[in-house]
Amino acid sequence: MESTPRGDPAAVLRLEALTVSFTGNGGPIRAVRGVDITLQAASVHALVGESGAGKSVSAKAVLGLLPRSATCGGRILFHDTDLLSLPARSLRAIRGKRIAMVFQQPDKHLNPTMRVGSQVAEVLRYHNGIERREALLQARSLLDMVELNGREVLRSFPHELSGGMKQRVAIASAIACRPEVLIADEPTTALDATIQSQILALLDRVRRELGTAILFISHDLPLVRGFADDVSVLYAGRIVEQATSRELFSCAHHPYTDRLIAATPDPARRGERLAAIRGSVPDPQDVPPGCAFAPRCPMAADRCRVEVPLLRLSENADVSQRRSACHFAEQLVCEGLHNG
Amino acid sequence: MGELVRVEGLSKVHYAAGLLKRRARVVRAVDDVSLAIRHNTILGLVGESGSGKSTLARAMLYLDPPTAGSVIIDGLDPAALSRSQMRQFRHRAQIVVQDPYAALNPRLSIAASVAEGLRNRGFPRRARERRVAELLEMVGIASRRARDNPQQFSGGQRQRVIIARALAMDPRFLILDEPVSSLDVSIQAQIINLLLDLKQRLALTYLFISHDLNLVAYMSDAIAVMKDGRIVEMGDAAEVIAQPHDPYTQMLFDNAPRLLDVRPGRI
Ligand SMILES: Nc1ncnc2c1ncn2[C@@H]1O[C@H](COP(=O)(O)OP(=O)(O)OP(=O)(O)O)[C@@H](O)[C@H]1O
Ligand SMILES: Nc1ncnc2c1ncn2[C@@H]1O[C@H](COP(=O)(O)OP(=O)(O)OP(=O)(O)O)[C@@H](O)[C@H]1O
Ligand code: SF4
Ligand SMILES: [Mg+2]
Ligand SMILES: [Mg+2]
Repeated sequence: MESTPRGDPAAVLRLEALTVSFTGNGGPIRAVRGVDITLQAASVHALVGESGAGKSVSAKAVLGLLPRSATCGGRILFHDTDLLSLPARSLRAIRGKRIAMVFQQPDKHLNPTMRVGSQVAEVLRYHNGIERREALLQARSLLDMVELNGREVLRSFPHELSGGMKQRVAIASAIACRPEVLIADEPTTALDATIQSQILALLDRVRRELGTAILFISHDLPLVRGFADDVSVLYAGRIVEQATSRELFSCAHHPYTDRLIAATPDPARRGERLAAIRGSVPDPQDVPPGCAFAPRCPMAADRCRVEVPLLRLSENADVSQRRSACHFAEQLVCEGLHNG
Repeated sequence: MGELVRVEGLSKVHYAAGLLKRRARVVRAVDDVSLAIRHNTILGLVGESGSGKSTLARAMLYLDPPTAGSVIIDGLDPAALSRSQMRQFRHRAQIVVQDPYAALNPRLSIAASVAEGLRNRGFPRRARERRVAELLEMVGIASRRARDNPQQFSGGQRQRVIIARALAMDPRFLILDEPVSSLDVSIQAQIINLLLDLKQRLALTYLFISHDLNLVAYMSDAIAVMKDGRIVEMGDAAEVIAQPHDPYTQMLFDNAPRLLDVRPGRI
């Protein structure tokens, strides 16, 4: 058994200076430009950000699911094994077993021609080498565990199930081998509000009962606020702020986070205007030099347009481990920007 | 101000192919719905997927005429209109739908898309061009980009063009069916602000359909909750959020994840 990464006993997975670029026609597409994230056992780390920020690409890098056109840099440490330098064969033995995944569209990893029970059993047979009948028995109790009627659902085909039920099946196969890490990429985005909260409750149970570390990808801030322990805010392939959920949502230390929160509609904001962020996210082939957020940032100064702000611990004495990548993080007065 | 929209006993039945091909399955997508929307206000419509929101919207505008019930919008009853009056009804009541990527003709410049309705209304060329420029400006698209095709715009910009196209008809009533659900929050905020501004400036009335309870609670004056084709709760927005009578509505709003801690009406 491998040891955990240095200095952090509970750390299960650690992205270190992860970069991902794709070969594109107009030059390289730099989708992820240096991301550091530590996942702790039995906790939820949310990766938030707008479309194109690099959330899914980061997740796929961990799972080794990127196309050939992608080049990765940095390290992805699972305990102390670097997944990026692992041969495909060894990675396949980890993926789906010790690191599992759930996606937005459950249909994408359910085979429409195969009964649900056989699909869940398949995972167990592949990874644990148990025989069919035993696998089906275990599949049934897994389906029960995700609060489906295992006996019935075992024999169903995917098209006979609702979206929420299919996502439960996807979770059942994901947790079949009691994974240490679960990567959930927008797992509730396609579902109704009530189903959404049921699925989150289920993921939370998985976290508690199996001690699974969850990387939760979402662009839904209210959802993340209630569900995640830690949050990384991604913008144009870089983390601009990293903090506990409680810290982040009580007071943002990066103008982008602050603007995102202020742009989010909420019943308590009735009658107020939402803070729209001018412009749009940069094209990954044409990211501005310096701070990528500068063209949209209300606080941008000359320095921002030339010097890349590094993700660093805040100098404010009252803050613990939160990090911000803004030259002027210390000048953000919370009440000011947030509500204004 | 009085009502702009009144719907009484509206029903819409869909015939879906049954599992055994012969017998069509009857889907009561909208089942005896009555509602009213006051002039220059927003009625928010929420409900789970498949509850009948879009079907109701299309039936109200007679895009898919209802199987029973009546609709009056701005004094017009679409069931009793001549062809030319129907054209007028279509101008007064517009719908904006979810997908800004599919809703515009990729072969037309955005100016041509916006101008189409004006042409149908018999605007001469000059007046048309002037009005298109005005409309694009109103939704915040630079007129120098008017000749570009939709592919050259972002999702948020396309949604603005679609709104401009609806406004070209000088509507009094807009149905907004998930108008921002495919957009990022920063862009969504631009569109929502725009819709709220236009409502004030042009004295518009909206039926606003969305899955996002926080968004509906933020912008609506009244809220209606749909379940299985029926409206299970309707009333003043603050009251529906704070003191829902219907258990389904209660569960819906109680489980909604929140960004801020204050709940209006509960402080
Ligand atoms: N196979 C690929 N080839 C080239 N570019 C890609 C590829 N996959 C993703 N990208 C680009 O990488 C960037 C990051 O994409 P990613 O899918 O990670 O975004 P995301 O943050 O998950 O956004 P969303 O919220 O829309 O899912 C985007 O600009 C995208 O266009
Ligand atoms: N053309 C059609 N033929 C048959 N059934 C239909 C048709 N359109 C909709 N339905 C059915 O009518 C019901 C209501 O659908 P509708 O699209 O109005 O729901 P909705 O509330 O808009 O859902 P969503 O939130 O997913 O958009 C559903 O059961 C749907 O399957
Ligand atoms: S570094 Fe400058 S541009 Fe970037 S977020 Fe901070 S103030 Fe804004
Ligand atoms: Mg994604
Ligand atoms: Mg709909």
